[in-house]
Amino acid sequence: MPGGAASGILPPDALDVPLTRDGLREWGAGAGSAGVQVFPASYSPLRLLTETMRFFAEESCQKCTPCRIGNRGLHHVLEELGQGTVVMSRRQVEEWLDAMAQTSICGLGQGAPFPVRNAFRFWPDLFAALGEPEAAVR
Amino acid sequence: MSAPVRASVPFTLDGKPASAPEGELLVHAAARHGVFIPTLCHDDKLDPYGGCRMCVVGVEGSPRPLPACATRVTEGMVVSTNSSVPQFRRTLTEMLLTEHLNPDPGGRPNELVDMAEEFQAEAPFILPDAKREPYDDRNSLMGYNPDACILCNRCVRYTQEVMQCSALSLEGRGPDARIVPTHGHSWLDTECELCGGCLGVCPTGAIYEKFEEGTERPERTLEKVKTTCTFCGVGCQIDLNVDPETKRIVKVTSDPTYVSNEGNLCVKGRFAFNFVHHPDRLTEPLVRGEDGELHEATWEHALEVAAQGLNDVKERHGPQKIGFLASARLTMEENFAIQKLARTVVGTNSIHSCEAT
Repeated sequence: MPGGAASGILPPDALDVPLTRDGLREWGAGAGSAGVQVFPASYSPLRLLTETMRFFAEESCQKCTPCRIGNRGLHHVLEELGQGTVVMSRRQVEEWLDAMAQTSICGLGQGAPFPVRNAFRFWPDLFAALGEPEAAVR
Repeated sequence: MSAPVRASVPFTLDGKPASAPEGELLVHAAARHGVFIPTLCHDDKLDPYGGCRMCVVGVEGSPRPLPACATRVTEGMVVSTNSSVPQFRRTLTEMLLTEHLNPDPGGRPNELVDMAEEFQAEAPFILPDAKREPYDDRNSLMGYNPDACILCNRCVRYTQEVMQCSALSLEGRGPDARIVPTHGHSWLDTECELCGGCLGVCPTGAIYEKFEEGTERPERTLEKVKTTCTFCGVGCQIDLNVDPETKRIVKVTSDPTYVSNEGNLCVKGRFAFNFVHHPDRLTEPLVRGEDGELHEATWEHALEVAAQGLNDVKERHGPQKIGFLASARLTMEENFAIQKLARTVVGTNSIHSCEAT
């Protein structure tokens, strides 16, 4: 995980990527604070993502709806997915991510979808149960 | 305070030419052009807030949609309420519904439920921690149910910006977030005057009237009778809400479009209406008879008895032994008439009104 919680989650293949904006952009991530967090292979990316969304939900200032409820909602979706339960389709998850990225007031809500979309891209099997992303409206 | 007159500037709304005074809020400018933009956290009495995001619109040149309730018209602005905006509204409504456990705690209108119907939005799930700590206040007029609250902060902002009393605060985050009396254990421990303004601006009915003699009927099925509050000379315009079956007044509301009070009321105007149906209420003049008891009488007879009594006192003890106390419920003209009666008819300067204290 380069940078902060919203910078993106990357697979081991990305370890040689230069820690620069341009280098990370190709991987859909950002440099953020330029720090790097490394997690062992035994720690599931789904678990990491779930905890990341919990962090955003707790950090939300509560002013705007997409950040206040979007992060709590996605945390719930991922938590349930970890238990093998699907509470929202991938199509609807994409709609929620879009609303968060586009209508949140500040960078917290706008940036929270980054690691989720990253994880969808690099670990599609973990999220296959949510359904096809192609069905998303945008 | 009236805003300075500003020059009208052209802008584009959904592809059509439009014009508005520069600096007008987009939500108002759009409404005048027949484009209704839904809002939840917005209230014309309050400063722009932009919290619920329900009113976001596309603005050319902006990387993201902007809230129409907090964005002002500028010359040449290109605004769109089409494309992705309807989907955002539906998604944001879905989000709010995931913790909206009780849409109707007290029979008041719920704008979120209206929007859910309009946008055909349903909660995809209920958040497992949606249930918030219930809150029971010991005041007898208003209740608050956090399960209906969408944390739009309208009530808090109303107390701060309109009443300037800081009676309510938003406390906590996530599942712990709710509206609470500021620094107190009850609304009665704050600067709150129980005017009910927070109730009036609440879009979901989370703050509601808790009347023992209320009605089971929702507010929208009540008959509204517009009238003038009789409690003082300000002349606030109010709606008496009448149960169509029992024909009894069960609550009082006011509308932001009403002149003189703009929908604001005081504790008496909003909550002290039970005198109307009270069995002790005087509906006929009463005159004390020889038997020492009060008996119903005609106005002519009652006024005659009162005049005779005043004249007797004046003849026996002089006019300075008579004093007049006027009521704060009288208008300016009525107060003028009563001092005229005191000074010219009776001949005393001993006249007072409780408004003076």
